[in-house]
Amino acid sequence: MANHTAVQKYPTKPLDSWQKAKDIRTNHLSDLVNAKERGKKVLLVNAENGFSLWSGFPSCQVYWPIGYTQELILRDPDHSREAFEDMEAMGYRDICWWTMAPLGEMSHRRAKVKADIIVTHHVCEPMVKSSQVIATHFGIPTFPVDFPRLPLEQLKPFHFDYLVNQFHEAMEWMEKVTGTKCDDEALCRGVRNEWEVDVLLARILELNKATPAPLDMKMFAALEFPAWPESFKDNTVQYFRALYDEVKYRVANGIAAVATERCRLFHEAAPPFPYLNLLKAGHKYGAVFVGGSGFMIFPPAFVVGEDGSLTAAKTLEEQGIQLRTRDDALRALAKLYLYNSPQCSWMSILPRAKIVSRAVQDWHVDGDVIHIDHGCQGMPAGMSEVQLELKEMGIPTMAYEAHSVDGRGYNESQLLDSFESFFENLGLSVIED
Amino acid sequence: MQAIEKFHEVVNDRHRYGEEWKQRTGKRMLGCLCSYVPEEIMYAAGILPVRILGGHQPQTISERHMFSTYCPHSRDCLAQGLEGKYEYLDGIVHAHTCMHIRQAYNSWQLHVPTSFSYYLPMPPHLQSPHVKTVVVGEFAEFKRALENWTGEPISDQALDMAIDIYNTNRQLLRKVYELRKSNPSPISGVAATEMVLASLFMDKKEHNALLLQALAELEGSKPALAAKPRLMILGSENDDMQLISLIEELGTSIVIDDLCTGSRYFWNEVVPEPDRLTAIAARYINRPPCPLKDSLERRRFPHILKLAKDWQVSGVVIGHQKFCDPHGYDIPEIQTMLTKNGIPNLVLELDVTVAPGPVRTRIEAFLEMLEYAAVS
Repeated sequence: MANHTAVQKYPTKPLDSWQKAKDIRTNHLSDLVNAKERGKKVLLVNAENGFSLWSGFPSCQVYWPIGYTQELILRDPDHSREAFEDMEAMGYRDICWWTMAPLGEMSHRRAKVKADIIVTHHVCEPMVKSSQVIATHFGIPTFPVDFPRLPLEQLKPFHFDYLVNQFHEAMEWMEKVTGTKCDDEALCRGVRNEWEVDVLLARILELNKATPAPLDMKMFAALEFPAWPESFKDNTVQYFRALYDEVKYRVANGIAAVATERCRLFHEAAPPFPYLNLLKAGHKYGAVFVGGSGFMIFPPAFVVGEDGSLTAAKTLEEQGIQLRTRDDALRALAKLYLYNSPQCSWMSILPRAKIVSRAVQDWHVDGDVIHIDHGCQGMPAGMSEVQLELKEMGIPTMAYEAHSVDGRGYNESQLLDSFESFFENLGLSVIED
Repeated sequence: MQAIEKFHEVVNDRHRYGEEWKQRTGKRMLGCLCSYVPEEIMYAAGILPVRILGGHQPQTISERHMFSTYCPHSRDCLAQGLEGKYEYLDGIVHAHTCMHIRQAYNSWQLHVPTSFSYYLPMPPHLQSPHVKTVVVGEFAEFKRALENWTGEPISDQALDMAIDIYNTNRQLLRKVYELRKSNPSPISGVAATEMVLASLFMDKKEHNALLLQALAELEGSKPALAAKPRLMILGSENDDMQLISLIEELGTSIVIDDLCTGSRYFWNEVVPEPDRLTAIAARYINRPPCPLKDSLERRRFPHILKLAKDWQVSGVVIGHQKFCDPHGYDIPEIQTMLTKNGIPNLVLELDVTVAPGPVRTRIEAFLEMLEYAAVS
């Protein structure tokens, strides 16, 4: 339970890596918006990880719809809102908004990004259906890769072969559609980089087990962006190496994300992006979001133990693996997804409950906040059972209904009230300066 | 019609049928949450597969296990398990379709004691050239799990027997559906729906015998309904007999469907091959798909259009389970396709129970549209 007897103040310090994160993000958006002028094809990748699969096609600019929608929400909320209204007018309601957003965004009169090709890493159902609808609507070629989503104990060799075979087929299809050969050297480099980025991300999250937590999840949400659409690039690897070193330094020197940390929380599922400051609502109470499925399930490379524990994976170099051929790269990518990512286990409730109930212990969590997200059904699926499990363990939880994408879907004041009631139920009160 | 009354009895008292069958035969029964479960394999093992469906009664027992923002059918199925309605089942099997029903399966595993539970990861991308190996592999794993559980091997002869009985069932149901092409149809939509639903709960051998009887009774019988607007009903599962009866009571005849508790369940047969599991796998890969198994190329849409045209429907009622993402993605384009082909259509949002008043109003308005379309 949270320590309410004394308000200790830890040292804090702005992150040195902050500017680099912003630069990568800004450059990515600029590259995306200017892609066609630069002679690139815009490749919409409906995925949660595995972006390096397409790194052998430098003539394509990756367009990650989830990230771009986040940007629109933050930078051009009117465009974002109008895009959702357009999507609803076309008859699409009560569905996954993250993956369908491009339908409205690309139809919008002020659309700056339009996909030429769509590929899907089919992890959850809405992904491939969204791609299908968008591709049909705009007449765009599309290719789905079916990613098996099974806990480790259920994986068989034929699942691995299935994924690798599809990867090979995807490369051949892209060669046909783009009229260019896959640059296998770039692919090897991209996969190698994505491996390291995802491992570093997992290690950074592991560092957040420390008290005080060096990062809070609002910071993390901004810092982790390059791990998605830019995961395969050399400068992303450099950035995460630097970030990892910086976070290690913060842990070694007791530098906190929140100076008055006295209560540690998890947030399950994606937060409401139009109201991301909700993740800071606890700061005046000394409550910090230190992790949760919204941040830990993809893309960090964690190995899931039999007891549900999350341990950062090793990089390819640490495993003694070198990538020389296309097949090497594709096998390594399949290995990253199937054996070194919690998302495979996540889609099944029993492993999910194990992961969360173990993680709350390992990250020394005092409470768990569950977002029943109307914008994404995949992440909160099964969380009611997890909530029951946490209750058995004596971990307080609260569930709130909102929308990770559509700001019209909730009342910010009411959300804030719910959060503050929860903090008070945890025995916290506002810390006077 | 005695056979049709028997189907009605089974549908309305399915648990009694299940309990009696179990007592009579001494054999095992497994509940299935999805029509992609390869029932032939279970039947070959001497196990009766029984489709788990909801009770269409208000309930709150599932609310602590599944948030109410998930599909009502899934929550209703879970409620049946938690309420002990399926106590006679020896276990539960699920073939992956969507995350909603997968939650129901997982929660059932956690809270309803069973001696066997199996999750079959049916891949979604059934058009992939690589998928057959995976599906055959999954079916082989499933067969092995059943053999371990029962302690008995499943022979090729047993599989042949099961395939034969299931194929006969599918052929007979197709024959009944063919009769519904007549105008007027000799059998009401309610009766036809109950006929198919009964097959989800009954031993197929017994169901086949009843189907033969029903076909004999239907031949030369007077039409159940005078010529009326002919409707098609589509969606995920739809066993809400109150809804289906209401639609027909308003002066229509439901003559065809595309439902997983309807024609999608039995439409295609297993084509024999030397390797039985490969043959069964091919059947499930090639069957009329649910939206989740319908990528890359849409095969469901031309199938729906063909059914609508072949059965000469005047209109289509699309049932959409609230919060169902997969069908939600298909519906706008299905509506566009039907409209382009001059087939009026109506979407009805469904829940565990439906409010008869508002549904009646919508159907009546839809029928007025059909009348207007007919005369203009």
